[in-house]
Amino acid sequence: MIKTKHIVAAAITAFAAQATVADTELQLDGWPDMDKELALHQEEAKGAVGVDVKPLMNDWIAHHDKLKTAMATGQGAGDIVGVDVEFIGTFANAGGLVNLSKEYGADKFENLFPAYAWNQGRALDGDIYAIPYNSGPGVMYFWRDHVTASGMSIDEITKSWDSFFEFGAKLKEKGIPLVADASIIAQTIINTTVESGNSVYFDSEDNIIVTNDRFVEAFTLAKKARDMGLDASIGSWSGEWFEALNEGTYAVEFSGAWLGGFMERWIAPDATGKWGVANLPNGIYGTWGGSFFAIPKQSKNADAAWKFMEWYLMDEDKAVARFTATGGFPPLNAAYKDPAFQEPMPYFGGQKARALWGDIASKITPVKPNKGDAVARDVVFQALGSVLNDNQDITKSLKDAEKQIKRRVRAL
Amino acid sequence: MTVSTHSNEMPAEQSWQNRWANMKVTLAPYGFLSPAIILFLIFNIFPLLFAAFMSFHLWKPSEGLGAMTFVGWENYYYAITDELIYKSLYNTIFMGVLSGVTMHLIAIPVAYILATYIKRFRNLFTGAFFMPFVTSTVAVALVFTNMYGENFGLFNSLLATFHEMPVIGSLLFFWVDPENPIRWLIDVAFIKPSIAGMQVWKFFGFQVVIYVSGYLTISSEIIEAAEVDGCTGFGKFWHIALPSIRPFIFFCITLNLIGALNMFEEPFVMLGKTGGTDSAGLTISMYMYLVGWVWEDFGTASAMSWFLFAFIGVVTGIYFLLFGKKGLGDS
Repeated sequence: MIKTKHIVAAAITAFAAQATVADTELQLDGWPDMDKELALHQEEAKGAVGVDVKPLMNDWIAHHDKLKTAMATGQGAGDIVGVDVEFIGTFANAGGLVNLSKEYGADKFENLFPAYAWNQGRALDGDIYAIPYNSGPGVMYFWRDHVTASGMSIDEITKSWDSFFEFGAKLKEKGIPLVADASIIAQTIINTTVESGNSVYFDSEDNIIVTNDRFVEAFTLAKKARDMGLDASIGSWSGEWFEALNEGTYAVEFSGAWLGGFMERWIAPDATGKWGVANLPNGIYGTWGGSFFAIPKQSKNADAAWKFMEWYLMDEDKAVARFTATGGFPPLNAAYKDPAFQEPMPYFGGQKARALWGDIASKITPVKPNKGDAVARDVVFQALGSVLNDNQDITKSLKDAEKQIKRRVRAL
Repeated sequence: MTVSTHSNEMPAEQSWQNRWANMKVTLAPYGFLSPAIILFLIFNIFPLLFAAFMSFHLWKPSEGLGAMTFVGWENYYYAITDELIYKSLYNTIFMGVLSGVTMHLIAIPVAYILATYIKRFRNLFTGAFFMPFVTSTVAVALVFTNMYGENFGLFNSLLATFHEMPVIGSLLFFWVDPENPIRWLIDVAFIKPSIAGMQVWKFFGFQVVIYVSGYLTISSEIIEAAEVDGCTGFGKFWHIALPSIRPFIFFCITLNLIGALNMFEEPFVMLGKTGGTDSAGLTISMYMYLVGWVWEDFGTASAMSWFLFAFIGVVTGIYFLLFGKKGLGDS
């Protein structure tokens, strides 16, 4: 009897709750796997925050093109939009997003996030326009057998770029390429050793700095790897690359922590126990990818959207749930203390890979995004291609790149 | 209401009715056309005018419509002094000509063989050749990217296999170096031919279809007459079939020209948005996309598109002037 009474009472309460407060419908624009991750908490959000979040997914390029159109015309964007770190400088400074510091006092949440991730969402006016959704502490993945074969320990290998190249030379004797493509070495140096106060391609006064020592060193080392024959000339995300990651065709990959989840789940599921993770060489820390949630000014449900973001993004349990489901790395300090981060990972040969990633995340120095980043990145990596594949002179290529970026930033 | 006041004035009423009837007749076609006209105005004319408007402004779309600043002809100055616009135009023309010429050299004889010698399975073959044309460009580009792969790609594996064959290897494939496989989509010298090769595969079937129907229009009397005069195999092709399909060739080349100048997906998927090493595969359409959408300079991108419009206008003009009449067969 009591049981029935309880059930009836519960049913009535539930019904009443539903009848009185209709959930606010929110649209989340993004790209996969944001939908899969949302599904984990979609139902819970209805009760907890009173919002019914509907995902609208496009592929990565199409989503950002659509977002630009929506910003241009003032309509068509979702209530919450995903923004990749590559475009965060563009959108945060464009004026189409809600100022989360002013409207919702977002700055009080700063300490929940690793400094580098939080500051990527900061515009030039110093306010926060986007909250980190996932992030990519930079990691070195290595094929265990190749490291053993070289006779060097992983600490010796990553001690400096010289020792890293020494490792490469040893592998070369056995016919094993060190990296997929030499450009990854340049990319690592360019993105992770930014001088304090500068952004990646510009100084604090928006002057272009692509001819400075960092870029020269990056290009020189990449060229050295190419000339020594240390790379396999395999482009990232190509069919050859997937195959190489499965079979350990080359020894080392630099990428974000999220790649580990991708490899385990769909890129190289057969390579269980074959890969290991380590810090980047030469004692550097940096980021690889990452994405953000922001609220467009055109949203009619901005307040509900913020309430949902606060509930969804600031909570480590949900972030960890997403992480273990898809591999999207959580940008929350508290998440790194979760027991899941201390578990040995069979895929990485029993290594506590997540603990290392969390440690790296806490050590990355923040780098300010600049509105010119997208253009500058394209031009610089185009120049790098010419140096590596067409034997062009490093100094000249960088000078040309500087000239090209200068032309382009006129419009920014 | 108006009708009732004039109801006792028969002539006026009649003329009003007449006028209305006349008007209905004259307006009716426009009424029926209006959906098409409205769509044309919205999706063709408006963007055209808006592009013209944008080309005089500096505009970053993510900042909203209000962020446009008038800059006069500055965008045009930037567009025509840009080295990359000429490079991309050169790439586009180079790949267009290379693929276009190769396509015709294959499609014209293949269609002739199908039309004259193969009766039973003609449709089967034509259909097979046509398949690539209806396959998604992106899917084709992805498959070709794999086949062009340096280490595990099909083409390099084939070359290596031929190289190791006993006689053929040393006679024909001695130049293959399995240690240094060809970098089809990375080496500047190979990028354009690789893309053109894929285009040939994808589009030559379409031309085969057109040329087969072209050959079938040739009256059998002419061919029989030629045979009586002692014209044989190749002679019939060269002296009769080829001249007869001139309008079809004209049509195909026109389509080729338009297709080549619009080339976008193939290099975009295979080489990435900046067009591969040294931008060797960057086409003019890709460059406009890059400047407008990726680098967010819609003003300059619009100016570039007008520059391209003028260029296509001039090229098509010259082409029609030189070949138009002859090509259409009214010589």
